[in-house]
Amino acid sequence: MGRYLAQRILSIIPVFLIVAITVFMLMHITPGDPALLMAGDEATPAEIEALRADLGLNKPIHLQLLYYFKDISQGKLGHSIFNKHDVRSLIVKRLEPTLSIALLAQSLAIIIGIPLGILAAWKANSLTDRLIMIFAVAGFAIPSFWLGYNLIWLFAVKLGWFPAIGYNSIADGILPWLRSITLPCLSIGTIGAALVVRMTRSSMLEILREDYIRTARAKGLGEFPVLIRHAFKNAGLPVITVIGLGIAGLVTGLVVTEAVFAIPGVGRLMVNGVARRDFPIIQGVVLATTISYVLINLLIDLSYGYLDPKIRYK
Amino acid sequence: MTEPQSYSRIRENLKTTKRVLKSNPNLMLGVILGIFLLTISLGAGILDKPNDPECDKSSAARKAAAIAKGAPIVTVDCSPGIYIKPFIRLNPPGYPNNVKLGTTIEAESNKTHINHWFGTDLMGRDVYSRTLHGGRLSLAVAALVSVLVMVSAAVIGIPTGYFKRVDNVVMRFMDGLMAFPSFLLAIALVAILGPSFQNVVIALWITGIPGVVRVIRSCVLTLRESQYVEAARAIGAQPARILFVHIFPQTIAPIVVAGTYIFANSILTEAGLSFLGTGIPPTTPSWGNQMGESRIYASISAWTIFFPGLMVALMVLAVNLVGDGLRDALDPKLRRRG
Repeated sequence: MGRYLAQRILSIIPVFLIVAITVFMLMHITPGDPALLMAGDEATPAEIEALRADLGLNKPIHLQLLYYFKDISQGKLGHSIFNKHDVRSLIVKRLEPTLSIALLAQSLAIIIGIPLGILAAWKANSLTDRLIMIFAVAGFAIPSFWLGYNLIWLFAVKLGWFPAIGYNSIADGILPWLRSITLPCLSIGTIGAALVVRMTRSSMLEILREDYIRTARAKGLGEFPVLIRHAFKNAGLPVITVIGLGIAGLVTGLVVTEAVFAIPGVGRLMVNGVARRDFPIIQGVVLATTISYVLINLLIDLSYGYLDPKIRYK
Repeated sequence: MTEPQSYSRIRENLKTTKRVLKSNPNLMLGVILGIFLLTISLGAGILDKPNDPECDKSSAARKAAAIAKGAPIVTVDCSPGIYIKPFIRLNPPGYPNNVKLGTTIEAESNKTHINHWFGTDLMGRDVYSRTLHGGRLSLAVAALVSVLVMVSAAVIGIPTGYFKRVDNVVMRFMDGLMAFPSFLLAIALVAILGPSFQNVVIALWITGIPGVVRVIRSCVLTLRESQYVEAARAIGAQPARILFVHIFPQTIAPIVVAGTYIFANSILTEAGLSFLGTGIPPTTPSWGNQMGESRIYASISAWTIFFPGLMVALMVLAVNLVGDGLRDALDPKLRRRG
């Protein structure tokens, strides 16, 4: 296990390097002078020069890269050009809504996806299976923001069960918090569930063909213990990877869904930064998200190795 | 090759295509749906309604308004497809015959469903026409991106899989690019390059490459060790010849399958980008920016978002069905069991 651990951890170092260089380069692929672009049309030459010095754009590019590495290794992400706030604290302040929605949506995806996937595999090629697969295929095609608006129309405008937009902090009480994030979680979670269903079904189908499942059935075990204790226990491993795969979809869902439901999260920060061409914010959010994404995938890889000894010794 | 032989070959291919389509109803559904959506998008100029606001009024109302103003009566051509006169003319909204005579302008504008099948948007433009036209841009982006990704991923992926020394360097770089949640990187790229059709294509192109390179490379890794490639090496074939003549044809199937997924994903991502206002500027309608423009009024006018989004969902569904079907048909080893 120790060797596997070391190997996996070492393998992400080049990934981090390339991610950091790419994010750094974002500022330099702008057509024209980035300082001029950020300062806006009304800036005086002196202001532009000040901004350039502030961002270190007047130094040679290799030095800029070195400074950038030094800054991010200390956790410094620079400050917003628009209102001079520190980017890291801006992100931290907006983590609560984003993380609440992300965690709840992902749990929802798993709670919906795994039972449906098991059911579809158990009843393979039946009408139930077809219906579940239609749901799974549709989940891949529907834009999450579109689903979000349809949910708003149905549950907020027509039925009035949930607030249409906005976010209530968990500090203001559990119930208002839950009510405000139900619709966003539904719109991301149902789409995430599609992936989980597909993955669970295909890995369950494979396992259900195994000899030991036949043995379990032959010795008179009920269908439920066969499915859960014998089959799913072994089919569950690939499903863990799905959670990692689903995170990219989750990020997409969060960015657009926060715009739909006017939720002040990290995605909103990014979109606002884009609208104001606030490069440090864009870079900071992309870097922070990507690094957390890589780390989560690393954790999933490690847990995979922990759960399945075959992978450890490959 | 003589003429008749090539004909028989075409017939043979058609037969195979028919057999594949018949054996896979999902693929069939995807193909039909895809062709339908492609047709209505490309034929938008024929099927849409003219945007002249005069056409929203009945001819009697127009006449009455002109008389009241003392202005000369102007005839407005409200027939659909003014520019292209088709043989079969569907009767789209705004067509004068669709409006009952004797209704007032106010009553008519309340009954928007008479003139506008999908309603009107915040500027009074017909959602039906814009949805049809929006498809062109969305599909153009997707088509362009998938071709660019397929070609460049093949150019990068095939040598990468074949030459071990290149492999390590290129794949580390691709791993780095793969590490980004692709939507986030696409937003950042468009934000920095500036929102335009061209830059949306560039952003989707860059974010699409690493995944496909990985698929092609793993395919080449196994092909490289196969006996026929070894045989080619043994008789002294140059690497360039091996790559192009022996390996490339074997990678076409996975490249095409990956291309369909890129196509579907590009439609979704373009819609997301334009929805957030970081995509194609709203002067030309695309499914995404139509939804983005209607964002503020979404809760009171749900239809402005419903229809373009429905088109996105149907198109992506069609392409995914085709992709799954192609994967099953082209590569029996990967066939989904069950």
